[in-house]
Amino acid sequence: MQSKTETGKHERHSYRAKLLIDAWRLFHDNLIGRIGVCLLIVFGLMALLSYIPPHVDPMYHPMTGVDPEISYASPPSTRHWLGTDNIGRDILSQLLTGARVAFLVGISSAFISIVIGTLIGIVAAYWGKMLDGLLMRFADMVMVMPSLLVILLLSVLFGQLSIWTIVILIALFRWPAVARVIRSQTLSLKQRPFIDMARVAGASHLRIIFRHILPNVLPMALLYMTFRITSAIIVEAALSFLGFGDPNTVSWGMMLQWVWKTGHMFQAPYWLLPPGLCISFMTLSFYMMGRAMEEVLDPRLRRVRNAKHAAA
Amino acid sequence: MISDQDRIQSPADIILRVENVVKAYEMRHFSFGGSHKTSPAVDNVTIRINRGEAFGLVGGSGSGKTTLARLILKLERFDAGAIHFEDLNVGKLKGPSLKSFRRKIQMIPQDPYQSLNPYFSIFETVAEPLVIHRIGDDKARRRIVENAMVLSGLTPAADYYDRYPHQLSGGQRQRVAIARAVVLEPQFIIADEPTSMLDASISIAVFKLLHTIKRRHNVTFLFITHDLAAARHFCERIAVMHRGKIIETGATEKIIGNPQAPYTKALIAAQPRFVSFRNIGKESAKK
Repeated sequence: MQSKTETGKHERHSYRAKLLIDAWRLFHDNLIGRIGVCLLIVFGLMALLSYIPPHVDPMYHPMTGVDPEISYASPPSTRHWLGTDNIGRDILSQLLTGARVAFLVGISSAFISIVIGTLIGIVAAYWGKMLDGLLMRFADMVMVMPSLLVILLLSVLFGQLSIWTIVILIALFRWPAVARVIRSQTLSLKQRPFIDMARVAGASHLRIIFRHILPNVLPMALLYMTFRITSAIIVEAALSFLGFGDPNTVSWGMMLQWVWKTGHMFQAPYWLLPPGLCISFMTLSFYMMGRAMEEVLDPRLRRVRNAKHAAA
Repeated sequence: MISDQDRIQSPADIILRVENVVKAYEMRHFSFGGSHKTSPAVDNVTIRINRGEAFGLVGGSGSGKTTLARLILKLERFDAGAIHFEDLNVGKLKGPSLKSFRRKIQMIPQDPYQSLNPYFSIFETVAEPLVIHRIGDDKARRRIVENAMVLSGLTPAADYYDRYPHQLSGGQRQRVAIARAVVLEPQFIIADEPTSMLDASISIAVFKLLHTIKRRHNVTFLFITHDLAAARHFCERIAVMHRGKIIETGATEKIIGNPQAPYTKALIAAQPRFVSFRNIGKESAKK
């Protein structure tokens, strides 16, 4: 008996596992999603590899390392695979570090905005009435604020912002869209009989929110997280390019700013193109992944080709 | 309105008293009229349910029977009237008293596909009321859950613990919902069309199960249905509800045998003429 239940356990998938397996099947069928994931893996490897160059030689340090023999922008060579910037710092090493910073900024600020947005969305929908109205009007106000402009103004007011301040500021401006989506999901979930059954059993509001509603809206929140990552990376790049980034970090936007400031915009394509392309492709890859996930979550978006999997 | 059946009972035997309860839903108009209330979903309803009986609430779609159940369960507030469960005034319950009320009254839902949280395993689903009311330790809970599941016909119970609702059939899910309802050993169970989403053979099994629970644990049932045959099979007394009003109350056989209200007559006339449940064996033998 004991062994029977033990073996049975492996065949039985939890609802979460079933969702994941189904999702992976659909995702796997989705060309856009596959391209997105492949690109992301490349960027992930870049971020991991960024730790290596400074160990090879101190001159490869992205920020402080300077090639003792080169003090000008040099094109790719065997010594510097992607060339150097105008003071002899290795571009490849900067590019790799930039991937790390982009992931850090994108994921952490998206995560914060998802947490804020999900909580506000659930609370607004769950309690409804006045609170719902207040929270949603507040969300509207934040949503229509030109976030880049406001962050620029803040950084002018408070001097140079650190990377973490930027992360939090981006998060604080990007939660309303999440809150709206989660609110509408919660509104429909609230009408589902299992929520009533939880109330009949005597469940507290906190229990209903965290044990019954949250797991059901989490997939949607994760989907929105990928889109938030995209926008966070772009905002950070824009800020850095305009010279309001964290001067102690090497981000791709910062690299673009250096190219621009030192007048190498049209003289050194080997310096301009890598960070520019990286920003574009990284946001593209997150966007592609989000699109594919959206298709997994929303059956209406599935094409006929995928119908057989949905039925199976 | 009050039948002789009601008069015989002394107040001590009455477990649930619903008195002149009104519930109307607001209709918002985006015009100069502002908001106003439409005709009530539950209109001046009075019922008394005796301890240990099965009371049927029969009515067509939209007659307000589910709304009345939701009012009794305090899932919604009523606009006027009073509901008393034992000595508790349901309308005024709050905090700890509400929680103890929730322990005594449970519900078997209509739709077994929607009434279980898909993220909860069967054990978590059935054990949740125990966790909420802090009953027993892990070991005791395991035993209580097992008893409830065996009572509901999910045997061997251990085989179901780690499964999830999507892996069960409709009938099994409804049994899980029943196990969840009886796990707290409530005194009163509201069954809201528990078989309307199930096919006939499973429905009969569920009816048998409800019978067992009623007999063995002396549970009072409020049985909501649109199906007079089902009510006749299960209930000692029924009330017929139409457009939010109770139009007739009394002993089941009396109402079906001698309906007074025109709507009840129409309802009975509309029943397909099948053999009664008790004669199923005999009828098929004749053929």
